[in-house]
Amino acid sequence: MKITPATQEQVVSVQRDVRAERRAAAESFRRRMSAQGTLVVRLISSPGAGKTSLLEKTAQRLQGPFRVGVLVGDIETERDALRLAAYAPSKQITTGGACHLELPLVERALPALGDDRFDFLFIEDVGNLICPASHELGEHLRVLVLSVTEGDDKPGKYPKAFRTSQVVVLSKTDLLPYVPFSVERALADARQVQPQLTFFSLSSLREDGLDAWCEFLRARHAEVVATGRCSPQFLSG
Amino acid sequence: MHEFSLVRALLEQIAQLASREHATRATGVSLSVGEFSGVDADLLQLAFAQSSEGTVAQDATLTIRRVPLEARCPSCQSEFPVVGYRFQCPACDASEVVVIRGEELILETVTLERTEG
Ligand SMILES: Nc1nc2c(ncn2[C@@H]2O[C@H](COP(=O)(O)OP(=O)(O)OP(=O)(O)O)[C@@H](O)[C@H]2O)c(=O)[nH]1
Ligand SMILES: [Mg+2]
Ligand SMILES: [Zn+2]
Repeated sequence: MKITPATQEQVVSVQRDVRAERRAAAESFRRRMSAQGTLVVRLISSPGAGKTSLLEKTAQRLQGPFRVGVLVGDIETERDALRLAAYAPSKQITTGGACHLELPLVERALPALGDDRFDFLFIEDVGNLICPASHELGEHLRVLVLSVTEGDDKPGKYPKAFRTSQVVVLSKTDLLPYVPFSVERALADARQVQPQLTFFSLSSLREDGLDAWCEFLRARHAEVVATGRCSPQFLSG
Repeated sequence: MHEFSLVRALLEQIAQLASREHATRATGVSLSVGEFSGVDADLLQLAFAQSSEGTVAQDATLTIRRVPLEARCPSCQSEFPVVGYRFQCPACDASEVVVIRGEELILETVTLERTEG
């Protein structure tokens, strides 16, 4: 007679958020940054929407009175960080094929910027409106850059990215005369997905609309310094 | 495809559980995946099949329960499915609504097997 060892099955109820750990890590990073007065601003967009161009102009304006640092995620190449290095300490994070940044990559890259007690830490994520929306990096502000050449139907196509952002920057407005893009329609669609969105429309090329954007950033930074937090916060993922 | 990195986190949780319960392997895993979780159920299955190889969960059946997106209106208290990603109360038109389900990614149960003797 063959003796088979008795196996016993047991169903264990877990009821646990799979992302609990990374959420906690993001929260603790955000708390550390808040405590040292650093506003963490993360930019997400489709490829080529103008994130690096916007950061060049933004860093140029804020650097001096404020300390600015920039981390740039890209699948390959150091090009964006080299562009930004003219204005602020910058470090490229090459993801080697991954479609989005994750917090451990950010934390590993940060020491390369030297003393990280910045007033503003900008993080440019990989050009992609899907994956970054489901991953928190411990940012205070998630800014979605939407260029007018992408069409005004994006909010409905990438609802998660719009829902989890606090700010939408409509970029390349100098091209509005040449493309069929309804600013009203894009704003209305985006507001259906996230009614609390703050909007800016600007052209980095013409340096148009940058003052209001920088003013907003300074106000948010002041808020973090004064209260240790930045409202509103409705991130998920 | 961030599903792979999420599956890595999931497999870690399963491995920890199996070792805590002195189990030799996991034969079943069930997840709740919200419609608005940012996670694709099919990609999750694919990532699980590939990444579980060589782990305690390599032969486990992954069961995914999809959870539709629903919200509550703080003004009139009505609860409703969010259709077409319009986050607006269909009863009173309020636009500040609270998502009550459909964003989650939850490990519900794990079926563990223990070999006696
Ligand atoms: N006309 C116009 N072109 C712009 C403007 N801002 C950026 N561009 C152009 O758009 C292209 C992409 O700009 P980037 O700033 O590199 O965009 P990005 O989002 O950083 O791109 P990735 O990092 O590759 O996703 C470049 O050719 C820029 O010169 C603008 O305000 N107006
Ligand atoms: Mg760039
Ligand atoms: Zn209502």
